[in-house]
Amino acid sequence: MAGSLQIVRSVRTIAISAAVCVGLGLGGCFYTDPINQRPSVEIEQLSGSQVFRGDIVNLNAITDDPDGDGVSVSWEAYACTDATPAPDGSRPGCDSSSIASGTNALFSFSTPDYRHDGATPVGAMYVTLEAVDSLGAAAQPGQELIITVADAPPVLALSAQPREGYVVNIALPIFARVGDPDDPAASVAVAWTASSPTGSEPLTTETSQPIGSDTNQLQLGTTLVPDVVGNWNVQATATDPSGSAAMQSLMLVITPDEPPCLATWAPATPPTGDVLPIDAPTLFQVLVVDDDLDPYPPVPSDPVLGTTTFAWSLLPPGATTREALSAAGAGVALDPASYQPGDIVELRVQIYDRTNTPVACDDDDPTCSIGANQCMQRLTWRVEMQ
Amino acid sequence: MTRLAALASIALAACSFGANASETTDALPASDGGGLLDGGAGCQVSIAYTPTTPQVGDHVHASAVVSGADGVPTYAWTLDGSAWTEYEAADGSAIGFDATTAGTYALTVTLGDFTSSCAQGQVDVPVIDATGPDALYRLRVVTGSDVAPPFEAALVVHAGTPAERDVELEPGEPVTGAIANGAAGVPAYIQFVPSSGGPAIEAYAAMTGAFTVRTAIGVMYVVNVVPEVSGLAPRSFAWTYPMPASFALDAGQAITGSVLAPGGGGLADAQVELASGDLPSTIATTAADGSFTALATFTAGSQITATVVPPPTSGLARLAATSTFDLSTPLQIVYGAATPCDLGGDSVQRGGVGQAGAQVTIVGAASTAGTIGGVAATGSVFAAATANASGVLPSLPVPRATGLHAVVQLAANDVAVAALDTSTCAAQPIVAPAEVVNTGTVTLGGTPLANVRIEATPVGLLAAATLTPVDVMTGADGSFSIALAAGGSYDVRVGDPRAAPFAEQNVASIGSIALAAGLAITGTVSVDGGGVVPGAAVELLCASCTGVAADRPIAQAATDTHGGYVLTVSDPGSM
Repeated sequence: MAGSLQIVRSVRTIAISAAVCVGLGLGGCFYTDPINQRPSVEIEQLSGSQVFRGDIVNLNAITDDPDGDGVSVSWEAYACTDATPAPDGSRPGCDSSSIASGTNALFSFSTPDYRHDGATPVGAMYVTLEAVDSLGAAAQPGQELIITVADAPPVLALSAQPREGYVVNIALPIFARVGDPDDPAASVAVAWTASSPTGSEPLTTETSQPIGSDTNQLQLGTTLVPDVVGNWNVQATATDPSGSAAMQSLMLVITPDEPPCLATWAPATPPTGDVLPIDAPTLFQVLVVDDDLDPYPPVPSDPVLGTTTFAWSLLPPGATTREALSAAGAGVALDPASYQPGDIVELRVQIYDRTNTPVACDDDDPTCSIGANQCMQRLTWRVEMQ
Repeated sequence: MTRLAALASIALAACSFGANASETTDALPASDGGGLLDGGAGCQVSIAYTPTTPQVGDHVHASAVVSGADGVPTYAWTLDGSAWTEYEAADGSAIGFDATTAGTYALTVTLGDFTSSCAQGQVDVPVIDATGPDALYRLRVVTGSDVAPPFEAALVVHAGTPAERDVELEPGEPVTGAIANGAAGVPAYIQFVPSSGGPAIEAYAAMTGAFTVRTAIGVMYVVNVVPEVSGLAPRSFAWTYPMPASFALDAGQAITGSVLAPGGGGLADAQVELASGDLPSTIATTAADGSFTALATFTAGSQITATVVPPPTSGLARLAATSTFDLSTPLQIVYGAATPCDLGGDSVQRGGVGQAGAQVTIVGAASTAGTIGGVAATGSVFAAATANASGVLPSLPVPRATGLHAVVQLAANDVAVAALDTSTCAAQPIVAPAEVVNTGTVTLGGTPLANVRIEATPVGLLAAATLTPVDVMTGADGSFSIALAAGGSYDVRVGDPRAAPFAEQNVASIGSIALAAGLAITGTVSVDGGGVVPGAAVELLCASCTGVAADRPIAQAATDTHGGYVLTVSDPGSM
C-alpha cells in the first residue's frame, strides 16, 4: 500500500547475564560485568497514510533499551522517484543527499514537489532512522520507511453566473476556479465541453485571472451561448502535468425567450362589458411583469437583464381612435374631474420585452396574448367617470 | 361618495392579516447605511441578519446576500474590525455572534476567490437602539388572488438601519357570493373595505350577480356595492367571513331636487351626484326644468357631499358642497349670478403662430358659484375645446373670472400653461409658451447612473388637465433631457433599486439629481402553510399620503423564486 508504514524491528541481542563458570582445572568460578545490549527502535507514522507532494509528514521514533540506557536517534529523509532498493542495496531512485534530517524523536518534513534536480516529480520518500544507546550500541539493523508520495489532483469548482433562468441565445458566463496543491495552477490544463440536446461542442477558456494574491488558484472564464432549448451540461476537466485530473459538471436548463406576462396590476380590470367606476384620481398601475430577460420591477444587479417597456393609450369618451400617452412608466393616473360624469374611457397598457414582438390582437380586444395562453401582454380598463 | 378611487386601488387586507400587532408595526433592525453596496460590474453584497431587532442577550445570525457575482466566492468576515470565524453555513456565507451588550456591532464580509469587482458588504447591527429618528411607511404585498388577499402593514424604519422584514401571508378563504334585486341577479362593482383600515378587495359581479373573492378570516369588512344597472341604488353592507355573501339591492331612497341656472330658470342636462363616505348615489341628469332624482341609501344625518357638473355649453362652473343635507325635502341647487364668456374665436398661439388642433382646457376657481341646499358651494372651472386648423377656438363658454388658466396640449408630450383673465371677456390670444427643456445628470455617490427613470407627474393646474406623467431614462453617462410645460408644476420621482428613492414635490424644473445610498429592507414573502411566494409585488408606500400619492410606490420589487425581496429606502437620518 502506498505510503504504508513499514516497520522493521531490530533483532535484540540475547541477554546474557549470568555467572560464568570456567573450568580452569583449578576449579572455581568468577564473575564478569553484564554485557550491554542493543537498543531497539521502530518508526511510528503520525500523519495519514495518504501522502501528496507538499504534505507535511510527521514521524515518531519509539525506542527501547533493555539496559535502560539513554538512546539517541538520527533521522534522514530522501526524495525519490522510486525508493525500491537495487540488489546491491543502493537506492538509485533516490537523491543522494537528504532533504531533511533530525535527532529528536519527533521528526517532520514537508514532502517536496520535485527531487533535487528541480524537475523530477517526487514519487516516494525514503526515511532512515538510526538509534544508538549511551554506550554506543546501535540498533541493528537501522530502521527504514518508504512512503509513497502521490500526485495531488487539481481542485476544480464550477459556476454559472447566477440568474433566474437561462435563455437561448443569451450569452452566459461560466466560471471555473482551479488550483493544484502540488503543481502551479498555470500548469493545469482545463478542457470545457458543452453538451446540448443536439450535440456537444468544446468551449474555449477566454479569461484566466489570478485570484487576489493567491498564486495557487486561477479563475478561468468561458462563455456559453446556448443555441437550442433544453438541458445543457457544461463539463470542465482539469488535468495537471502528471495526468491527475478532476472533473466537474454543471446542468443548465435553457429556455426560449418567452413573451412578457402581465402578472399583477391594480385596480382590477372589469370583465368584458363591465366598467370600473371612479370618482377620484386613480392610479392605474402594473405591479409585476414576469419575463425571463426584461422583468418589472427591474433587477439592476444583473447586466443581462433589462426591463419591460410599457405603452399606454387612452380611448376618450365617444372617440374611435386610441390616443397614445406619453407615459412610459408602469403607472398612469386618471382624474374624473377631467371628464363629464358618466363618461366612459378605456385605458390600455401593452407590454414589450426586448424583442418588441407586436401585440397583434384586434384593437377591440381588451386583452391580448401573443402565445394564445394565459400570459397576457395587453390590459384594458374600461372606466366610468363619476 | 367619497373617493371611490381609494377603493378602486387594489385591495389589501387589514394589518391583522398573517401578522400579530407587533409584526404589523415593525421596528426594524439597525445598521449604518452600508447594508446594500454596489461594487460595480453588477455585483452586490449585502448582509441580512436575524433577529430583526436584536436585544442584549440575543444570538445574531448574519448571512451574506450576493448577487451578480462572477465565480465561486469565499467569505471573510469581521466583527468590530476583527476576523470572525464562527461560521453558521458550510460555505462560510453566514456567521453568528452573541449580542452581549447594547451598542452597534460592525459586520463586514469580503468576497474572495473570484474576480468580480464586488465591494465589501458591511452592516452595523444595533442592539437595543430605537432612539433615532424614524420614518413610517406602509408595506404592501400583492399576490395572485389564488394565493392570499393583499397584505399591508405599517413599517417603521429607523435612521441608519437596514432591516429584514419577512411577511407571512394569511391565505384567507375564497368566497362565492351574489348580488340580487329580488330574484334577479345584478351586475355590479364590489369592494370589500376592511373596517380596520387598508385598501379594499375588488370584485365584479357577473350578469347573474355571482362573484368570487378571496377574503381574510376574522376581519370585518364594509362591502360597497355599485350596481351597473339603472334603477338600483348603491348600498353598503357589514360583512365578515363566514357570513353568507349575498347582498340585496333595491332602489333605495329617491333624492329629488332641482338645479337653477343664473336667473332662476331650470338648468337642463346638469349631472348631480351625492356621496356619503365611500358610498355614492346614482348620477342624476336634470330634466329640462332642472329637476332631478338620484337614488341612494345614505344614513340619515350623515355628512353628504353633493356635486353638480353643468352641461359644457352652459359656461357655468362645477359646484360642490358638503353638509348634513335634509334629503327628505327636494334639494335646491342654485347658481349665483353669472354671465359666461365665450372664448370662441380666440387664437391659440405659440411664437405668434396659430396652433392647429391645440387642445385647450380652461381650469381654475370660479369667482361666483352658488348654493346647494342653502349651503355655499365652491365653484371650479373645467372646460375644454380643440382649436381648428388655424388655431382658432370654437365656442367655449367659461365663467368670467380672473386667475383662470389655459392648459394647452399641442402634442402628446408638449403641454403649456397660460394665464387667462376672462373677467372682462375681452378677445385675447391664448399664448402657449414653449416647453422648457431641463437637463441634468443623475449620480449616486458622485458616479453617474445610467438607465434611471425620472418621472414627472403633473400637479396643480396642469393636473387639472392631465395626470399623465412625463418620464425619461438617463443615458449611459447618467445624463437626461426632459421637456416640461412652461408654467406647470410637477412631482418628480426617481425610484431605482440601486439608490434611495428621490422625490421632490411641486417643482417647475428639474436639475441634476444626486441620489443617496439607501437603506435596504430585505425579507421573504411566504403564505401560511404554502411556502414561499415568488412573483409577489412588494411595495413601500407613503404612510401619510392620500389619493393617487397613497398608491404610488416609493420603492417596489417582485419576490424572486425563493420569495425574497429587496427594497431600498431613504435613510430617515438624512431625510
